[in-house]
Amino acid sequence: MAKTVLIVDDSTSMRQMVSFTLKDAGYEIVEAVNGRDALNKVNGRKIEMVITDLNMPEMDGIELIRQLRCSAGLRFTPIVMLTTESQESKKEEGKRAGASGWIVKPFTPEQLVSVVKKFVR
Amino acid sequence: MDIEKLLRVFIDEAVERIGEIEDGLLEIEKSPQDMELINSIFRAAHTIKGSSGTFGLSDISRFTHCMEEILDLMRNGKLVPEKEIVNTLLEANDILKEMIETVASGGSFDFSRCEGLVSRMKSLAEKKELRQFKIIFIPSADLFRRGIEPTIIIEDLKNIGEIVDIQAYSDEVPTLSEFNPEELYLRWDILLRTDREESEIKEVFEFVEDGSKIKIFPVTDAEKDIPFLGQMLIKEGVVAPEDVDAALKTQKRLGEILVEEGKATSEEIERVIAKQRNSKQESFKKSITSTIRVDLGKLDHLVNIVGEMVIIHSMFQQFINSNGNREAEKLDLIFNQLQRIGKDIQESVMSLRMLPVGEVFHRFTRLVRELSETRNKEIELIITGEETELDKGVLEKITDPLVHLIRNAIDHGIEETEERIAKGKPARGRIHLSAFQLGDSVYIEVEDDGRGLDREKILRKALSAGLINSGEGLTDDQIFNLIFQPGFSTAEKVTDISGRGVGMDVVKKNIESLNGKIFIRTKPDAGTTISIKLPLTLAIIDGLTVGIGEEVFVIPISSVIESLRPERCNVKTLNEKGEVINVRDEYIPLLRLHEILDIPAMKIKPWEAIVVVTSHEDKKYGLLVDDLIGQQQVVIKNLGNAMPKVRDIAGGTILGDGRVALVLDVPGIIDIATKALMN
Repeated sequence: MAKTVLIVDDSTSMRQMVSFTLKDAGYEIVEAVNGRDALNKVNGRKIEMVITDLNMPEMDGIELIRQLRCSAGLRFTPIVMLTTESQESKKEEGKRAGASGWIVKPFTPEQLVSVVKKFVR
Repeated sequence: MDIEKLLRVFIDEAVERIGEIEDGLLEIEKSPQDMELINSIFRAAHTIKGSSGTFGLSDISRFTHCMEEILDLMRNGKLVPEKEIVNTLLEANDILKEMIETVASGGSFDFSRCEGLVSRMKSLAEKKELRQFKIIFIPSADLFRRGIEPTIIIEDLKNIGEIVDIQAYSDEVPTLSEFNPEELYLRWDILLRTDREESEIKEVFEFVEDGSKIKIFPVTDAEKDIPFLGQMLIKEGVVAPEDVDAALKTQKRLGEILVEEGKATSEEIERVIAKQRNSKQESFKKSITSTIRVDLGKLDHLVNIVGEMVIIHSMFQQFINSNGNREAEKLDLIFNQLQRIGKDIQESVMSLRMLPVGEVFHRFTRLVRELSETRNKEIELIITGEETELDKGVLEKITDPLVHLIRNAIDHGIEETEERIAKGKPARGRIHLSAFQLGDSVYIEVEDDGRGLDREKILRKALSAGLINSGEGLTDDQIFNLIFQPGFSTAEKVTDISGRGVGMDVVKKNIESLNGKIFIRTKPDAGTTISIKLPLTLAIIDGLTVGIGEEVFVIPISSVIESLRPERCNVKTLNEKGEVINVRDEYIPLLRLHEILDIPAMKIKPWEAIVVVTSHEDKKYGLLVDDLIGQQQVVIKNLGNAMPKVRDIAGGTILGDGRVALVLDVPGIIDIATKALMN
């Protein structure tokens, strides 16, 4: 069974790049445009992994991670955040909120897949 | 014979060998374990290298030397014939063929063509050497809650090398009542054989580094590089490989067999053995000259200076935090670097005081042998973890308690031989003495496979000695721990071994004076394990700084369970116990530190102050303080000879702001308080 990855990013091009790459690698994709949208979409779905941007309108990535870590179904689900070089402090905040890992933007499709494979088999 | 003719012979032979190399390489992919095959390819390349050199074809000789080096690594099992390597060798073999053809046609070969290939071969030979790494992986307990699955990490390690050995340790798994299914209690020791660099192994742990303890170090074996006698005899040309193989199969001493069969003379064997012995000594010399003896006083001085540095660090940190100047951020960055280096220095200085426990452990071999003879019991001592390191001071103080525990195991634990046989156990008893490090603690365990502790006998004894009033309501654990009470001895008749009046209470006291803890695990007829948990070092501790009135005190974190502010309704005074507080339905004696230390406090009402819950001898005590100030590493300093030995103070230290604070001796304070209460 294909594993489902939730990708949360307000940038359409980023979402497309990630989802194209992961679909190609054999994953199912659910897309969301911000934290609130993501929380609605996970409802009742089986999600094996979450990849989230940090800066987003309505609800940002850090808050999303916090909320997911409190929800029964996703407490132990791997959550990877998309960060940039200059976001060291954000990254630390994300780690404290319960993020499992991170990918520094910009990244290549290969790097993305290798990080995803570190969390879901 | 003229040179032309000789050259012809060389070319014919070379072409033949090149064919052999090609066939061999194509075969090797199918059977990479075939050592004879690898050997034959190696010999072919070696022949071409040698003969081309003889004919002055030094470029060809150098080229084949590169091939030979890769093959040599394969031959020694240091390089796995992967596709990439085989392909490179095939490519090289094709070029070699061209070279030889050019020689045959009298032309000149353009060697610049193969520069890229040569450097590729060189990097293969250098980089791909297989090494073994020991990886100690103590994962952060919250890994599951961070969505990380530790088994995936182990899977990833398999992708970069071969896991030669993996050991999962479950001794931190608590009892069921304390077990939290969301916590990770396991740790792993992994032996990985890989051609990758240490940094690549580290990368596997990228996302788990925070909070986890990961140690990766190459495993080197001083004697690894010395060839076996058989290999050397072949290399010296004394015998053929087949003779060695045949001899090995008969399982007699190799040298003798070869002499008997007339394959070699005893002189020849002796000569090679002497050579082997030499290289053994050489390697032993190498391993011992890497140490240096240092006067302990000098070391202690260094430890002291580093301690001062730790203090200056905290002062610096406080200064930065309190001075909100514009450069603060930059200063903070530089400071962090300084702190990191400082920590490295501190750790390596502390490690200078560390000694392997092996030296002490091996003394017990003799003790066990002598005692088992006098007691007429057959006992074997097994020692593991002898390389585990402990602070020299701790190691010296642990020796006597260990002697006592081993005597106990021999005298009380292991049964008489007849009894063991009747129980269907091996006639020979076993004592396992082991040491290992876990986090900031070192564990030393004495395990016997004897009769186990006798619950009823301990209970009877404790009752008759008046240690308890009744056995009711006591858990097995509490009963077994009675053996640590002063005045307890289960031996019904005093023996010359254990019955010396020194009881387990003394052992426990000694361990606790080292800030250590002692645990018992026992099972009827399966044996008893006494486990001692010791801090890595005595000089630097993690402390909780608390305020009482104008004073600041440090409580060692190791004895703190929690701190809380009790509700007014949970503070009660009982007749026989004095003041107590109710913490989650457990009544804990409340000790007012300001009264014990006889200093004025700012907060007298417990519900306005803070209670630090500590434990001593498995009982909890609440210490009343005004305030919690913080947590920091402190360097304990002796109060000096001018001060008489005080029971309630373990030493002094200098705080980050330069103030002097006293470090409380929790067991001492509890002792004073409980005695005062009894009077």
